[in-house]
Amino acid sequence: MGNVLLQMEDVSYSYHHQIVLENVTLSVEEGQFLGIVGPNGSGKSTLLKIALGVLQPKKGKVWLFGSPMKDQKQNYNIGYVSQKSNSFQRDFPATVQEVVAAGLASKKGILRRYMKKDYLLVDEVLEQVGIQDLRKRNIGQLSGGQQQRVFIARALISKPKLLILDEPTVGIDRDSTKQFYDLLNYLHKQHGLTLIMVTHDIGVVSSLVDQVACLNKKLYFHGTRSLFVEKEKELLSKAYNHDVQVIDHHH
Amino acid sequence: MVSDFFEYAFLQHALIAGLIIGLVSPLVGIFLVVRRLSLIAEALSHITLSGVAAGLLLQKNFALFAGISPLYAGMSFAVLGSVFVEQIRQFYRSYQELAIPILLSGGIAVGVVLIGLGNGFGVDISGLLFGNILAINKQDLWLIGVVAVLVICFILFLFKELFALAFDEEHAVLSGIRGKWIHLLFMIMVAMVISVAIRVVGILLVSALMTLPVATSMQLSLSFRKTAMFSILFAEFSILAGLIFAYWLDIASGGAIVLVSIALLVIVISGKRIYSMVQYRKANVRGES
Ligand SMILES: Nc1ncnc2c1ncn2[C@@H]1O[C@H](COP(=O)(O)OP(=O)(O)OP(=O)(O)O)[C@@H](O)[C@H]1O
Ligand SMILES: [Mg+2]
Repeated sequence: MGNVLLQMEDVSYSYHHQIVLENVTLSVEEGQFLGIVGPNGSGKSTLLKIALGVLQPKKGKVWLFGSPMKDQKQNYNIGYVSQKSNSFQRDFPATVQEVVAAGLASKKGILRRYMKKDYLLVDEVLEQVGIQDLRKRNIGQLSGGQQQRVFIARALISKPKLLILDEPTVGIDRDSTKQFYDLLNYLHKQHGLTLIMVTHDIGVVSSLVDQVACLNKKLYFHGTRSLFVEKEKELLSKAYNHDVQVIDHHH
Repeated sequence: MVSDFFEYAFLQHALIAGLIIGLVSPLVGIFLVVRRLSLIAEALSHITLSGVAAGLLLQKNFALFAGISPLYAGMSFAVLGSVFVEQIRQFYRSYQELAIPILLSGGIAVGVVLIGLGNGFGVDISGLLFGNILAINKQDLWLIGVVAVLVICFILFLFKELFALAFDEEHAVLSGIRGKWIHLLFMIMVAMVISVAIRVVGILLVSALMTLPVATSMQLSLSFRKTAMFSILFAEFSILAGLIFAYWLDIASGGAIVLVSIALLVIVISGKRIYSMVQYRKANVRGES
């Protein structure tokens, strides 16, 4: 058994009066690739935000890299690509190089400028995601798939131990999606990167990841891919047909 | 005209003040523009007006304030206003511009009331509104210089944080950048730039000086750094040319500067159009032959 990077115990969360996560217990070990599936509004993005420390659970505990969430001051050990990462202004004046370097800003610390070695690092991650030739291009002039790679590169540049992706292939064509999954597979297999990915692509879940979590407010399943594939029909119908109910809890 | 320049101190003051303002205005302006908060500059300038009016009122009624430039009161109001803007921005996450009409109208309203109370003060209201760069004295110049040094240090030292926040606030904050503090400090810098820039272009035109050169250089689709540098270049050019026109034709300096900025924007946009038309023609000709 490897190190446990992320551990959630009995985590619940609600927005105002609406409970969106209920008693979720989940752990991710070093080197694992966890896929999270579930219908719209089932709390997947919320779960990720709790893992990132953006949201505090209303109940339950979260450990990250072996220590309680509260003690985590800096988050550059986690790379994050959000569900709407390409919702920036299209004519924002910035090159790919500048956007990717921004992923280093916090790690370098305040008052420090980017140096030659930082730009070499930028080149390195751009090569990893296969877009080194786009370095000087403006971010707004790229295609959706290319932009997505830029955001992966920005997440990778701080050399995170854990990469969290929220529906990274939405709006990307089939070929680019395939290349993108190849890239994730490569990072996972060759670099031993730990990944958590939310996706609606059940096909990918049953071929790429090694752990699956099936979520709809509650955790319906958490286990290996093969176990998931075995029980897929039954699990999905259970998780997806169970309507996302709005439950009020009264104060 | 050149000999005039060496002869009259006020012309030298005007030029130095203009060049400094031309450097710092687009430097903060670029972050306002890309964060879609251009109008914040407008709102803060209106607040500065009420501050200046308050300063004048104090000057008139209390001997203690007689020697103190009302610009300081204007600056204090603008800084307070900028803190307020940040607070409202936090309240209305997705309607951040809501702070603007509140401050815009509030600032004017307070200013008008205070000016009324002072019976107009017999001061140069039009200089306040449209700028009177030729009236800049040594004391003003010092204030402008100090503000400029502060602002330039702030932007240079926090450039990478400011960029990361402007491009993707959520991601930047997540990665550990102290967005709240940096934005608050930034707003204070904006307020200070505005309160000194109104000496040059006036309250009504100050936001133009912060945004027009940026809008022009954004047309060039360069990197963020180069966009910032070109904005400064365009701003300095507008100020120089504007001052020369103003002196020559005896017109208000603020108006002349802003008109030159607009002319630059129009030239760049039409230049871009013509360039792409020529490229398109060329490609077509090549395609046919
Ligand atoms: N900021 C918010 N304020 C209030 N309610 C929210 C907020 N964000 C999400 N919710 C609600 O919480 C529930 C879960 O949202 P979440 O974004 O976690 O779902 P999801 O599983 O990521 O869905 P999708 O597949 O559509 O991305 C939804 O019912 C949503 O309406
Ligand atoms: Mg989601």
